[in-house]
Amino acid sequence: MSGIASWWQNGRGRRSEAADGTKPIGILGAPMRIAVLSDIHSNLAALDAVRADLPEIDELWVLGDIVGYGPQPNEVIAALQEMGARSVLGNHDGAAIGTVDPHDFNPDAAAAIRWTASVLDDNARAYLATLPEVRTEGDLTGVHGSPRDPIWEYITSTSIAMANLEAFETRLCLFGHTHLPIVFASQDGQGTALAAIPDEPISLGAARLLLNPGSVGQPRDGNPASSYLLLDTDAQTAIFRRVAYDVGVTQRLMRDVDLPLRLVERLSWGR
Amino acid sequence: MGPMRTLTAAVAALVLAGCGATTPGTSDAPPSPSVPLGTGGIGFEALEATPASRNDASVEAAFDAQSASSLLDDVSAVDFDRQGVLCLYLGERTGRWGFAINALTLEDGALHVAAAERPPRAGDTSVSHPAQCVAVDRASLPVGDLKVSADDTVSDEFIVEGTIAVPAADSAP
Repeated sequence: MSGIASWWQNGRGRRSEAADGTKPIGILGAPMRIAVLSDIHSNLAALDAVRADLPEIDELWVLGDIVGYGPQPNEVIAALQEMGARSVLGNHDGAAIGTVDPHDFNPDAAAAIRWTASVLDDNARAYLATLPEVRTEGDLTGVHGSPRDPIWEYITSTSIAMANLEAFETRLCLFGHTHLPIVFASQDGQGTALAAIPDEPISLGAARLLLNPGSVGQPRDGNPASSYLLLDTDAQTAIFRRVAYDVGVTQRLMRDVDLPLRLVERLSWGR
Repeated sequence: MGPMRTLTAAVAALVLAGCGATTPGTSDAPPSPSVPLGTGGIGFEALEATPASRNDASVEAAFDAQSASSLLDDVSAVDFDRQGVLCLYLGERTGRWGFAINALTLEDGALHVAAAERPPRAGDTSVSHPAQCVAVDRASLPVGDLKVSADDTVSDEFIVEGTIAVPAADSAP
């Protein structure tokens, strides 16, 4: 049994009373195991690797930027539909279907979005068009950017995270957009950042948290392996995972459709 | 202004000051080149600066050329008789971000700044205030209101637009 499977298995059945007496977090009151993915960016090889790594889960949340940059937008959306993902809209998703102005993109990102828009099939277009900017269920809020600006704001510091606390009412907020896995915690008015160390469970405790799972399809923290997050609302823990995938497969497909070389190369470096 | 909307958490200040102006800190990014890239390139010199936290008031001040003088730590490297100072400041970041201005180009009467961020290493939760300042020959810029845009050609993490006032080269600094 792999490390993650063992940890996940051991957690099963621990209907926790949190040490501090707080109630377990749950969707509709039921303890759940939730996988949180973000910024897949049309990278099916990366998504497939993450999918193979997933333990048994009750729900899958996807925090936007499903498309853009990468070579397989339709295939990624079809896979998420098959997985029953609960997704929100990201800036690249909106730009691909014309609801977000790509003027704000740099030239490479804009070129990739123009290509994406040209190849999206009807199913993918319809899927993206239905995505909400904010998803709130039980104790979870999910956004792409930030609670106060779900499409565009980058939460890159503790101070920005704390400034967003009043913009959501749930105890946990899941966000993406920066492609950097991290946790921001607020307790008694104090904010702090917690490192997202793979496979080291983080106690959800009593603090209000903002959690970024990192990026599945274009990590930017120097590690090219896909990043995602597992939440166990029963055990009251969060755990970050890194999953290596065949970057070369995605890069070949990107070259085949003439996506910008810079976007191709950065996948090798996780930057 | 559309692009500024994207920068609630990103670029906080863009300054071209003809007088003693600002240094909102720099990063551990590699030094910017002194040779412009691409056509329409404008020469510039990277300035040494000390990383520093800036509050909202100081960032606001940085948009005003006169008030900006209070923000510079060391102006000795700048010849204000002929140079202005341009700074990009990313605000407070969690993790040690790097940042560098790579090229300045003048196209269609607007100044474009190509810059690059370098995200922190995984697990880095330290606080940084990434920024970069460069000295620009004022004579290479058109006098008057000048549109300026900046973007990151690597990460697409920020784009900013604004307008700065370029004084005549022979005006008092």
